[in-house]
Amino acid sequence: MAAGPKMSLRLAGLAVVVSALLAAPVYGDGYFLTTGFTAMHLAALGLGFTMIIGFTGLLVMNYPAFVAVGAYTSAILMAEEGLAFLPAAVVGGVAAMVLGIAVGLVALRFSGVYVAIVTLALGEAVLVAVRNLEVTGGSNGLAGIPRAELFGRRLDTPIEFYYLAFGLLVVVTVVTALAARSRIGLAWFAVRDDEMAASVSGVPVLRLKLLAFAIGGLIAGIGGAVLAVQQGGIGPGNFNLLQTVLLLGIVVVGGLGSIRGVIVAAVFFTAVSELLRDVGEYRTLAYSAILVLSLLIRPRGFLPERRPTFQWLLRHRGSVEPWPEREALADDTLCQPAAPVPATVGDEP
Amino acid sequence: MVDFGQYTVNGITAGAIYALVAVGFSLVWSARRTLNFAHGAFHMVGAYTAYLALSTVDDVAGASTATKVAVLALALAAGVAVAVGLSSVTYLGIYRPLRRAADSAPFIATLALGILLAEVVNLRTPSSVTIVPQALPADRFEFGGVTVSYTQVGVLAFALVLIVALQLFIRRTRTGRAIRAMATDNDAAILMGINTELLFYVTLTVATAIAVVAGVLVASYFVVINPFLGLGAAIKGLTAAVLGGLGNLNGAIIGGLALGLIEAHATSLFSGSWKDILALLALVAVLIVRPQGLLGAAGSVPNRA
Repeated sequence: MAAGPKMSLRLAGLAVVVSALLAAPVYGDGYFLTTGFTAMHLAALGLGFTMIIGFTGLLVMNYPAFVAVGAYTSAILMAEEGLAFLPAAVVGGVAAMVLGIAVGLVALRFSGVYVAIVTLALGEAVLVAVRNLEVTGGSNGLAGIPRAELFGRRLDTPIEFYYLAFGLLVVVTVVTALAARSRIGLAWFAVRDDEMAASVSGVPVLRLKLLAFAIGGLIAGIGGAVLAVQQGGIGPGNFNLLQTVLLLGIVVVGGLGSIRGVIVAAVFFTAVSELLRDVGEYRTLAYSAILVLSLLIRPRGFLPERRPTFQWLLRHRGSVEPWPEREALADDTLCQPAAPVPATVGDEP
Repeated sequence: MVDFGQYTVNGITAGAIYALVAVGFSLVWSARRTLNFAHGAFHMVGAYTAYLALSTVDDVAGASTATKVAVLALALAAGVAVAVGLSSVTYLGIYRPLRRAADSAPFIATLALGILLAEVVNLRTPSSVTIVPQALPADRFEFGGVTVSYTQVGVLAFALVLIVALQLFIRRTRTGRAIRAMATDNDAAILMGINTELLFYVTLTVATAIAVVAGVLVASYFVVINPFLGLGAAIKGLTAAVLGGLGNLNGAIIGGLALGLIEAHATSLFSGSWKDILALLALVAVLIVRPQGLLGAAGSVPNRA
C-alpha cells in the first residue's frame, strides 16, 4: 500500500532525523545532552509499555515495577558482584522479563478494568518489597552504582549517556517496529480489536499476549539498567505511581500502539518538563493536566497508529455501494471495531 | 489478650474508614461499571477541608471543645459542598465527554485527575505533611482493658451513621431505587424513563460526598495528613470494595472491616511497612480465587448480598 515515492520520502525523513540526532552532540551542550538522554530513554520505555498496553489493549498499570526490577537487579549485580554493565543489564532485563511473564499470567485471567486493578496491586506490592528489603536499600534506595563500561569505554559524561540512550532507542524502535509489522504484530492487533474473531481464526491469544508482556518487560528491565548507571543511584521514587501516569500519558497521548506517537510524545513531555524547569514543582501538575486534556480532545491520541486497512481492496473490486463518507473514516476511527460493542452498561443503545 | 482487643479496636476504626472509601468505589462501579480513581484524592481533599476549618479555631485561645466540634460539623457540611463541586467537575469534565470512549479512557483520566488534585494541594500547602488540630479532647479511656480515644469513638459513630444513611437512601428512596435499577440493567432503566446520565451524576456525587466526609474524619483520626494520602486510600478502598465484590455495598463494608482487622493484627507480625503488602496480595488472591468478591456477583445490585 505504501506507494513507492511516499515510502522513500518517509525513509528520507527518518534518515534526516537519525543523522540530526547522531550529530546533535557536536553542537549541543551538556544540558542539551542530558535532556536528550531523558527524552530518548523515556521514548524507549514508552515503546516497551506500548508493546504491552497498545498492542494487546490490556490496561497494565505496573510497568514501572518492571523498570525497577531491571534497575535494581543490574545495580546490585554491578555494585556487589562487580559484574560489567552489559551482562548486568541483560540479567536485569531477563529478570524484568520473568516478572513480566508472571504478571501476565495473572493479569490475563482478567479483562477490562480488572486488569488495571490486579496489575496496580502487583506493581504496588513490588514497590513495597523494594521499600522494605535490605538489599534494595529500603526507602533510601541504592547509591554509588559503579560507572558503566561499554565496549572498553567508560560511560561518565553526558555525551556517552546520550549515545547510550540513542542506541537503546534505536534497538527498541527497530524491535517494536519489526514486531508490529510481523505476523505476530498483525495477530496482536487482531486480538486487540476482536479477540473472539482472532481466536477462532487460530491465533494463539494467550501465548501472544504473554509474548507482549515478555518483550515489554525485557525492554523495561534494560531501560531500568540504563537509568541506574546514568543516575548513579536509584530509589523507590523513580518507580512510583507518578511514573506510571507519566508513561501512560506518553503512550496515550501519542496514540495507543503508535510507535512514532510514543517517540513524539516522549519528546513533547520532556520538552514541557524542561520548559517548566524554573517552576519544577508544577511538572507533575502539567503532566496530569496534559493527560486529561489530551484524552478529552483526542481519546485515541494525537498520532494514532497507521495500519493497513485494506480499503484499497474494496475500492479495486468496485463495490457497488461507494464507501460511505471516506473522510469520516480517518486514521483514528480505524482502530475501533466496526460496530463498537457497548462495553459498559452506561453506553446507550 | 489485651493486645488482641487493642488491635481489634484499632482495626475496626481503620476498617470503618476503608469501608467508607470502598462504598464510593462500589457505587460508581454499580452505576456505570467504571472506576473513579480520583476517589482517593477526593478523600484527601476532605482531610484538608477539616484541617482548614479546625486550624481557624485552633489559634483562638480557650476555644472550647463544643466550639471545636461545631467547627468540625461545619467542616463536614463544607465537605458536602466541596464534594458537589468535585463531582460536578469530574462528571462534566471527564465522564460526560468520555461517555462513549473506551473503558480505559475515563479510568486513566480520573487517575490523572487524582494526581492533579494531589499536586494542587501539595503546591498550596507549605510543608509536605500537615498536622491537624484535634476537635475532641485527646483523652483516652479504658474499656475492658482496651484503650480507646474519643476520636476513635467519634469516627466509628459517624461512620455508622453514614452507612445507615446510605443504606436507607439506596433502599428506601425513589432515587435509590432508580440507582439500583440502573445498576441491574442500564438499558431497561432507560426504557423505564430513568435519566441515567443525571442519575449517574447523582450517584457520583453521593459517592464523592461519602469520600470527602470520610476524609474529614480521617484528618482527626490520623492527625498527620499529606497530599498523597489519596493514593493509599484509593488502593485500600479499592481492595476493600473488590474483597467484598465490586458493586456490592454490604460487601464493601464487610471488605473494609476485614481489611482493617487483618492489617491491624498483622502489625504485630510484620515490621515496618511490610503490612502494606498484605492488602495488595489479598486483593490479587481474592481476584484469582473469587473474582466476584466474597459476597455475591461482581456488579450485582447493591444490597442484594
